[in-house]
Amino acid sequence: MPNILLTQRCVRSCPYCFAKKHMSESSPDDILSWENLVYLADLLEASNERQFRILGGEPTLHPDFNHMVLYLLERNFNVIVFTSGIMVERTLLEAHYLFKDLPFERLAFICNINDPQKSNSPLAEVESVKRFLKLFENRVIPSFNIYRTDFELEFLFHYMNEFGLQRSIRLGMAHPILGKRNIFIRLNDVEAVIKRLFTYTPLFERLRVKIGLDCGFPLCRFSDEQLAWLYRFTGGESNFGCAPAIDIGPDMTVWPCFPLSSFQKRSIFGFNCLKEIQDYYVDIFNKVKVEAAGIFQQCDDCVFRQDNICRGGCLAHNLARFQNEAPVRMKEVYS
Amino acid sequence: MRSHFLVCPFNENLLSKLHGKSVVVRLNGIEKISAAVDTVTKHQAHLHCLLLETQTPVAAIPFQENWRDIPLALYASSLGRFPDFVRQAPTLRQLNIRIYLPLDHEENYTSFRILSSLGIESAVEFKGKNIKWELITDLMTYALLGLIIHAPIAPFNYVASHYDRQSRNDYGAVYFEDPYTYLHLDDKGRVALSRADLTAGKFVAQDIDDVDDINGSEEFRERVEGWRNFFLKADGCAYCQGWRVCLGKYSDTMKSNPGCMEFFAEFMDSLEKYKAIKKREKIIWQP
Amino acid sequence: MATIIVKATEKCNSNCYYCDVVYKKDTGKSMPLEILETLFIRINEFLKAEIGERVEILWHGGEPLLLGPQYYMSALKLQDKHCLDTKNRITHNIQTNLTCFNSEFMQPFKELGIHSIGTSYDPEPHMRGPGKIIDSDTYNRRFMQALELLDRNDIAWGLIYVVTKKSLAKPLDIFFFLSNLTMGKGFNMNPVLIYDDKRKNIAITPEEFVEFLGAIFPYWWKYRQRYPDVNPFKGLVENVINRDLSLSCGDSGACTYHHINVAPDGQTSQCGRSADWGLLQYGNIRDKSLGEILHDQQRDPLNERIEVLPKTECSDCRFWDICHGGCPLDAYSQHGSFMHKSEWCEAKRGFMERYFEPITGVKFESRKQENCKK
Repeated sequence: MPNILLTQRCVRSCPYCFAKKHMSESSPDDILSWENLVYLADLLEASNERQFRILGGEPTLHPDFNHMVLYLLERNFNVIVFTSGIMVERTLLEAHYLFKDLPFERLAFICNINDPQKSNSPLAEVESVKRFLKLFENRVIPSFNIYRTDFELEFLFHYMNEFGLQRSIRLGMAHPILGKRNIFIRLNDVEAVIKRLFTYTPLFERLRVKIGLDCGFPLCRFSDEQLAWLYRFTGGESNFGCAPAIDIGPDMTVWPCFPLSSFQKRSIFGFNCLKEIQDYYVDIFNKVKVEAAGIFQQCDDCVFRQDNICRGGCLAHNLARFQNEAPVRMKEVYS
Repeated sequence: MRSHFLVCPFNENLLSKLHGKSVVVRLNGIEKISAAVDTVTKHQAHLHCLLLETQTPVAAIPFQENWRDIPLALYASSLGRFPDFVRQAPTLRQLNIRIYLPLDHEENYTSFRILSSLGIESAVEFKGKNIKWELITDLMTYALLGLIIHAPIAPFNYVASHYDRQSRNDYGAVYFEDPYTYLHLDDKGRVALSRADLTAGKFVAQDIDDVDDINGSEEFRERVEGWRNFFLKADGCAYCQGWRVCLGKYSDTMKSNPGCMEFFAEFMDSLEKYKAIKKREKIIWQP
Repeated sequence: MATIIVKATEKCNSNCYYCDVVYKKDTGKSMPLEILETLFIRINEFLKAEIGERVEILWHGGEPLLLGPQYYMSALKLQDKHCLDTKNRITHNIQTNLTCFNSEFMQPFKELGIHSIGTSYDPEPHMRGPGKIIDSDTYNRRFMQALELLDRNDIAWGLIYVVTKKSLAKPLDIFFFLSNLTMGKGFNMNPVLIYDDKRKNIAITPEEFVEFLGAIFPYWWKYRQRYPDVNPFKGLVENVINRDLSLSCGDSGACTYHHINVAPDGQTSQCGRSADWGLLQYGNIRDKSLGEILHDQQRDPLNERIEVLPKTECSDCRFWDICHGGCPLDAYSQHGSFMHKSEWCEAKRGFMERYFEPITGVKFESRKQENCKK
């Protein structure tokens, strides 16, 4: 399931931002044209893909955001929008008017919310997010990126209760952006992050909030007890993967995922279908893993990695290691 | 020889004389659609289509599901307010309709793609002197060689489905401008070979009773053989590789806006690719 | 098959810049019906004696249509009278500028079995046309009217385009013009042949002809399905790729015993040019049978040429099988002898080596090379 960037523009500057490197290289005027949207819709339809995932920057900044979503819905796509929730009021009100009666499966927002206290967000931003959450209520799945070990999640549970959001949190871990210095969770802090996360299990249980782990969490840093809890609470749906997500930019280039947004970037017109893109990047990922199986040394001999239960953590860590070496490895591991 | 389709205004008296004929009835408003259909039926003519010429956007027209059986050629100005248009889309898909949009509204270059991808047939009205030929080339490529099947965009798909590489391929019929197929009548039943001739008062017959003799007239011969005049010039359209599809339609603007040459060359390339793809489609025993 | 070029008249209504007719010493003669009758008698004799043979009559001129439709009705009657049992082995073709063509010619052409007409055209102003000024406007208008009549009556036609100096600046433009005009009916591009100094300004060299064709060939090769009948390209594809070695008279080396040109007064010669130059004159049809004329000993050097050239000037040429040293009359005009190759051989070789073979990826192998391989 690829993610399509409607625009490179963003209204926030998050400290961990996955998009940081990529947006700094792009022109703020880089927005997806209607012609390219139609092309991408055709590509997905030809590949039997009925979910259209919209990303940014901040996708709602696209001047035709609402109309594009309307168009995709009319084409029978189910649309998921990854947003900060910070929208221009006119766009917000129009979106609410147009989409309020749609079933959740047709259109959902995954709203990446920063901790108002710890991220030092300006008040206007916080209020804007709240306005968005109030209007879209249970159409919103909250999302949180962990970039510091002393993170707090209480505010998310408050928001869920206050605004009637979906009772599910998508949790991501900030990873290194290849070739750049950004704030991310260091490898020796992963265990501490997981430990802190599990201090919230009583809240998850009491409020019956589902937990969805994004890619890059390594299996070995979970204790058996933690894994058992996860299994029980998610019905076995936890994911310890790292696979190409496939991001497509408004300039019709494609790359494996945001931390690797400048790695093996290609034009989408060089591929005939999604499977070709997927296969292309899976092949590269596999080649990288021949060089370094995972983020820890023990990943090489790990039976769970060998059996694909865990994918050895985020590839960006592996590739970051290779950057400062002499180029003696397979050519695929370099940009 | 097949008899002509007669493009005529909605005039009861005139239609009463067209018993047994195939007609295209011109309307400038939707409020007369039902009345026009009823009148044609009453006088036992055959309705080829209704030609609605409006200055309004598509979104502003209240399409009705009970128009499903009425063949419609709608000339509109643009798609209009997008949410309103999208609301109409399911109804439009059920209708037997082709929507013509002019190129002098720049947003229409995109609108064709939207219509086509939503399953609604459209046609490019080549209006205006500053046609953006590069955008037309992109649109044509999308129409013929897109990733998935979608609704046709005339004239591209029309030419593709009729293309004969060793003939002149005239797509005038898309715009009711083909003297072999369409004749134009005024209120009094006077007959012209084209809409422009009709407007200019250039008639080839004074009465519809003479319609059947028109093919033998000198005016008809001059019109259908007029393409030969291009070959009497020392330069111009006859020297263009795209001639067999264009036939000099843009000769007036060729010098000031020569993008047509590249477009038609590209068009012919795409037609060959389209033909090759169609040839690979397997046809089995089922009739 | 014997080809009889009947120069029914030397008169012409056009003053085409590169034509030799207007430069002839004897002009204005037309073939009287008595000579025409004798011709049919001779044809019938020939076909009765040679059971398997066929005769192609190519009506030529000057401008053959100047004789009017009645002349061809008369020809038909004479054929019916004298070739009752052999007329099924006679085919008729015609080469005309079409400017006199009208609907009255339909009936005689139909009855003579002329279903296809050969013509030629040049879009360049003042190259073809009547009068001192070479009024191409009038010529072209009449030409187009004639094409309209042919098309409306489903009569096929093919066109020759003569490549001159004026063509060299815009080969692709000319190609598009001709292909748009003929639209699948086909055309030939031949180099202009100039034998005097007055018109040297439009003469081209073999090298220039190669470059002209070479500018068009890549496009034609890419889109050959759209332009199926363009020569010399189509012919070369058939020769080289399809290994079909049917060749024109100039390339086949086989005109020796198969061609006759009959002048208006009944004098025969090898072909039109040989008649114009006073070469290879075989006598009058009044006095000789076609069999005698076709086997006249003066033809023997043409046959000898096919034996001599592969051992001499053409010994190192890969393309002998599709060239045979070119037209012997071209050789004569340059060297004063038939025992040389034509200068236009270089055009063929140059085009094959520099354009045809690299672009098609097919290398021509002569029969000798093929046999060696076996």
